[in-house]
Amino acid sequence: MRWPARLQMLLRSVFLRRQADADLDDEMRDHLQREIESNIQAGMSPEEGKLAAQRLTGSVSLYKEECRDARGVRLIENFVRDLRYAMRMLRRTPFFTAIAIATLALGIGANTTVFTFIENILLRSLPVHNPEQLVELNWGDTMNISYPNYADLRDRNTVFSNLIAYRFNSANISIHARDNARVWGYEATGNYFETLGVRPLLGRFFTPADDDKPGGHPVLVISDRLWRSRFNADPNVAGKTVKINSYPFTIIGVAAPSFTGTELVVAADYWVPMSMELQLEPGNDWVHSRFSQNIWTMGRLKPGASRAQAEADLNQIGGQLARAYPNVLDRNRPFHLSRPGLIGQDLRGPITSFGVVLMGIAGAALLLACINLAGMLLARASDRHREIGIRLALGASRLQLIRQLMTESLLLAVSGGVLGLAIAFGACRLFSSWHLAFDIPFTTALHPDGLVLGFTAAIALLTTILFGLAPALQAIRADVIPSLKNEPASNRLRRVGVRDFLVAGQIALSVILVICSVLVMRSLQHALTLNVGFKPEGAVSLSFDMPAQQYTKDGGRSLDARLLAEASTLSGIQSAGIINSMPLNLGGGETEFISRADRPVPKPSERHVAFSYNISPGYLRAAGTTLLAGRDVNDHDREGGRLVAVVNDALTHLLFGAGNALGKHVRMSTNPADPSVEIVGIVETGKYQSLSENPRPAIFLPIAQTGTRMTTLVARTPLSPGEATKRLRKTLLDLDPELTLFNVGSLKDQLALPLFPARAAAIVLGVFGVLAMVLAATGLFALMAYAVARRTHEIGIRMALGAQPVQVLSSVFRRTFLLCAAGISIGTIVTLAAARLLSAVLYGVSPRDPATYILAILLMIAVAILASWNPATRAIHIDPARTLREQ
Amino acid sequence: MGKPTDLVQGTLDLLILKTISLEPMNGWAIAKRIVQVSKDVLQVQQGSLYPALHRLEHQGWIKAEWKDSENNRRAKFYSLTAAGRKQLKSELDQWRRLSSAIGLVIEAL
Repeated sequence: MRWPARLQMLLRSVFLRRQADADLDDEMRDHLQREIESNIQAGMSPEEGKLAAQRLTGSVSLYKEECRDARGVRLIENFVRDLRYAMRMLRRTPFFTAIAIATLALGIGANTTVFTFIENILLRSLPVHNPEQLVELNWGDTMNISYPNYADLRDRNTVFSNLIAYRFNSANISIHARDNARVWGYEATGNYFETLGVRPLLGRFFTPADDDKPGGHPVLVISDRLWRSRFNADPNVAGKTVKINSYPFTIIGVAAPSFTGTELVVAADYWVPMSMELQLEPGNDWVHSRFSQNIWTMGRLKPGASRAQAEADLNQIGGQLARAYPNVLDRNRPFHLSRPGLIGQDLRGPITSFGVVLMGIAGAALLLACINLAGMLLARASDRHREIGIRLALGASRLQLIRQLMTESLLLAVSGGVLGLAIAFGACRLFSSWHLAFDIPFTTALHPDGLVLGFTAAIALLTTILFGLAPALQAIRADVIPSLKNEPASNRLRRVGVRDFLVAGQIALSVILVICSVLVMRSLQHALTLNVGFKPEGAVSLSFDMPAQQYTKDGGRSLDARLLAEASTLSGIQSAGIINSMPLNLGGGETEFISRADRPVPKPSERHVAFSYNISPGYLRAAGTTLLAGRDVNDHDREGGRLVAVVNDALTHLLFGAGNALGKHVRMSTNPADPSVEIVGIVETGKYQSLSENPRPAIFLPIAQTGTRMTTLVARTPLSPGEATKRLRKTLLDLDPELTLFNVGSLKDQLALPLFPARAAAIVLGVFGVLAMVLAATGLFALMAYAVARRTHEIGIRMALGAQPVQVLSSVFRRTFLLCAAGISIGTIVTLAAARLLSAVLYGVSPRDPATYILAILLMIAVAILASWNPATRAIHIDPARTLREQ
Repeated sequence: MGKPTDLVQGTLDLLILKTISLEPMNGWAIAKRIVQVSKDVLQVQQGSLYPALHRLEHQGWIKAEWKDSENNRRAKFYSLTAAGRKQLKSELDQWRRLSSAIGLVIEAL
């Protein structure tokens, strides 16, 4: 039908109701007038004519109502009236309204946030042509596969229209001298872009013709982000030459902003043909090795080919390969296809279970919120039984009353939903702006979209029904006669019910979560002052790798020596030193065999390992590691000279007990013929892999006797980290303008990585702790409000008989006190029992720390008092005279 | 509360549409015209007429306009819309089919 016209009429009827009604009145008057005139013309007297016309017309107001119905207005008018009434009712009880909306907002906000996470990460498709045809190949339990195996799969399969492969790797990209960056990107097969069916923003993508011979086509596609950040969005960027890992490549195109590679969780910044592999990674000829399982594959299924067919076809080829290369491949490795975007099953599996668990928790929280709200509404309904009784007596239909009460619930749910959406948007923005403390460009962007809005609206409606319907049905069951006679609805006292258990459970749960989050937060505070074996304050570090093409072993050492000489004379730099990789950093901390040189090589079961680092003279001072005995490594420790090492306290205790370890020798090889290493210094024991580890042995060997391409320059300075790193960067680039620096910043910032598990735990526990506490509070509030409403009459009599407020409170709230006490005790006991599980993320705080427990219990008691404040004041302000008169 | 219905609802709609298909008319004139043309057989009550007019207007088949009528009085005139004309045609077809079918059955017995 003609919607515009209908809508216009409807809107006019609703918003210009007065005018529409006046219109109708005019029309009726006109009709009457004409009838009268016609009667007079027919020969009646004016009096008779008028009477006859009025007789014929009947009840004008009745069919005026029908006309209004015919305009389709009634529903809307009623709804608007219900809405006004609901607002008035909610405004009359601001405390209840605020609590209800806050609870719903938290519950809906949590669900919306989790749903956004799931929708953005698990359900989103790659921004490519027909993404539903694409599958990632998992072979056994991993997506990693070797290039020769990929080539065989590509050539022999019958189910894919195309099979692509790519390797995610980091590279140093140097645009001009002194303008270098470490970026992550793909070495991809030539058919990569045409299989995906994506279009470039600028220039062109590479094709199979660009991937036809090893080293043949040094071409490069860059991401939109790299183009904007490093090339100032230069429209003529195609054709420019840049160096990747010191090899010149020509830029041929820029990818569209939406395309950041074929994995959603990590963003790629460059793509080069896989045939350029040896130019990017000199000396690592993995393309020809069936052992090097380091690429990922993705196929586009032929139209009509099912996943099961594809898996069967792949398994057949896998069987052939396993027979042909029995020393490389295991026979029992089935292929499994998975939805692309999350690195096959490697990441999709854990993320899916994580999402399911989160959704379960959020859903349970919302369900509890609904149950508590239903309880609060029940209490309200018994407060209002007189009002409802009167309205029933005046002829309101039960349906009208239900609609009325449900409108109130809907209003609460919609307000809670809007607020919850705001919370979810805030949480997503927070999550998006959060940078993981890794060098890898993980994407954490979460964008709520239309689907999310729909989800929120749906759960808001669902919650309305969940928490609103039962109390509404209960309310309209009010008996008309007793409520009009001012008799109480029913004075039956409730037995211990499911709701009592739920409230006790919620209190217990929030005690557990609050204790855990306080413990983790205290431990975080502690961790910042924890001795990690170096002093993070007032020190900065810069890391770089020496490219194999330019630096021989001697070249590397001479760069180290020049760098140290320059850096330590720089103004503002107190001391400087080099280590291959800072302790507590990702990728560092390799362990090596260690034993006493004066004893035979121990049996495999009795061997010890130690974290091993390579350091330059001055590192210990720059990092702030305390030397307990002996000396630092120095310039006299050279290749060919006596092998020396500095070890930590834990190592000397492990190998030499309480005895003096200085001058003793240790061996680091199981071959007795290899030379041993002399201990020349002992340093304090620090943390090497995680902040919560027990003391572990570590050994520091001089760089001059070992050599390394991985270099981290550490400098102690009173300057700001920004200024200090600026000066050091200049010094470094003066020595070699093509070096690419990463992990540049203060040592304190770099502690973000080891602190990450604890920070994440603190955030999650804190959020759930607050949620649980709010839920427990609303649950308590609902119970107490209900108790007071039910026993108003009894309380009135007690007070009339002289009961003191304290006596009234104790009689009304005895059960609630018991519930609180039970909940708090259960929560405390459970936490004490499960404390061991927490110790993995706790540093320097006992999981049974009494102060924390007392704090959490006090907090819970405070929340309980807060929740019962309103019902309690209502109970003691009951006016005996009025209650007795009314009931 | 039931309303007094003189005519089957759909039939009244058809009569109204047919009556105003010649020229725009006000409510009173529509009722009078139906009474006259049907030789006083079909009495249209005000209580049925106006709700029907509003319903038809709501459905977009007729539109209403305040216009000057005879001796300087203003009245609300109803006229067919394009959609209303189409609706009238289909209702007329239906009515003819139905009445001839009923006629056939009655004659045959």
